[in-house]
Amino acid sequence: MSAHLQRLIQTSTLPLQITLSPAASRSYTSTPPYLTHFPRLSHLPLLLPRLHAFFAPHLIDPALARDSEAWFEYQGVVLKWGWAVGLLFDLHGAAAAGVGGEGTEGFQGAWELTLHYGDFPEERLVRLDDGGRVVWDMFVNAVKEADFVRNGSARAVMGLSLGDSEALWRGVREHDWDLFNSVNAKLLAPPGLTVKHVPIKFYLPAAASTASTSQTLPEGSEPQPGHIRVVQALVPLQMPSKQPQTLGTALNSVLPGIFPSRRAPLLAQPVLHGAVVPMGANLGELGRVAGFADGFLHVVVAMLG
Amino acid sequence: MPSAPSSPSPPHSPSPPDASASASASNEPEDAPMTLAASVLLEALPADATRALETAGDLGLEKVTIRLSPLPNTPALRQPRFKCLASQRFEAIVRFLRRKLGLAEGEAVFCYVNAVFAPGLDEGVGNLWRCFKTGEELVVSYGVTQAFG
Repeated sequence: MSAHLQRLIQTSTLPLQITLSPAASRSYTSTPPYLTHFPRLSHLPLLLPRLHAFFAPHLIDPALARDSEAWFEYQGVVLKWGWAVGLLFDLHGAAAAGVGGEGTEGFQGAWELTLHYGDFPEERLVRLDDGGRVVWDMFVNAVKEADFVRNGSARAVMGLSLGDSEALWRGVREHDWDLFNSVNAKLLAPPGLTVKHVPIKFYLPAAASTASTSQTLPEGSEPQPGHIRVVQALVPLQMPSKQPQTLGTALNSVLPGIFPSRRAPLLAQPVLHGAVVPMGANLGELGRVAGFADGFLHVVVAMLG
Repeated sequence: MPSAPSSPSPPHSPSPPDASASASASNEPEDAPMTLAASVLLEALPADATRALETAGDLGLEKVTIRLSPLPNTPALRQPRFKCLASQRFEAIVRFLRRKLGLAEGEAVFCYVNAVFAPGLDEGVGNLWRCFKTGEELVVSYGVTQAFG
């Protein structure tokens, strides 16, 4: 069952429709979009080589068709390189699709992203390099961070052979999940180490401004964009009572105001890979089966209306 | 995997090249904005849910202690400890360090939590302190090298 679930998560794709920014295009808005199905667990930088090849003939300045000049935007939001595309969709795209936490189920068309070349938003995004170093480095450091959470040291990841660590990254880059899993298994259950915590991060919506500011705004004023807050805490595999930790007990201990009950999602529900996860799911098992490529469970907190 | 401090690769924590970025550092960095569509949904929530969202998962501490520890061939600071707002991003620590070391724009500094991993510049200081502190301090190791490549 768990192997089946892991396979399902790893082979799940999102339909993407990528449009070239009119400002970079020789034909303004008449450049054809690029359509693809892209793995939810993958990252947008890994899609860039194909996009450069596709869009270069349409660019005002074809020399800009490289990683260090490229960035993605969705409805005015600059998309982070380090967040998996499935996480980005669940945070930004699912709300617009009007499915609030139901993930891709109600999602008819493709997720429409804009690809920009040049005019780089330096203040808001890390610039990639043209050699793939930055994205590799983000991945390696996130894997080390997850390992440190699991074991209190990064011994498992530091102990990988050079071949293994290359295979881990190649598995992600080439969407070869069998290859990835063969190495990742050594991190999830490191021989000689006791896994203590589950690498987990929670993503919450937050209003644009504090209440004091919004009170001064006149009625019917333009809505201000909010932002996403990331909450990270050490969540032990076992409760102090020695009971196994569930997603519900974890949410209740880290975010008690949002999850006042351990069993019932009253104000919000947890979403992973586009799906609402039952509160009673065993957290240790989720960590082994439903982790992202960096080893973390990136849990989107979807508010109930 | 290569151990972080001895890794020849430039980690992704070199501070922003533009020192003027420090002027824009605020207490509540809204570095991951939401779409307006999502924001509108948020405004429709009951007031108590909105209030709960503002503080959910907060550390309960306004400031946390950071200890800056030099890696080999890197100068130590006279004051290795400083207080940092828990609501700031890791970037703020890197910027503080650059100022203390008097680094010029092209000079890189590499920062690692517990001498193991380089957090993203956008990771929250409060989150890092809560998960990776030693005693009551978040230990950030740093090394200075010539910018290369």
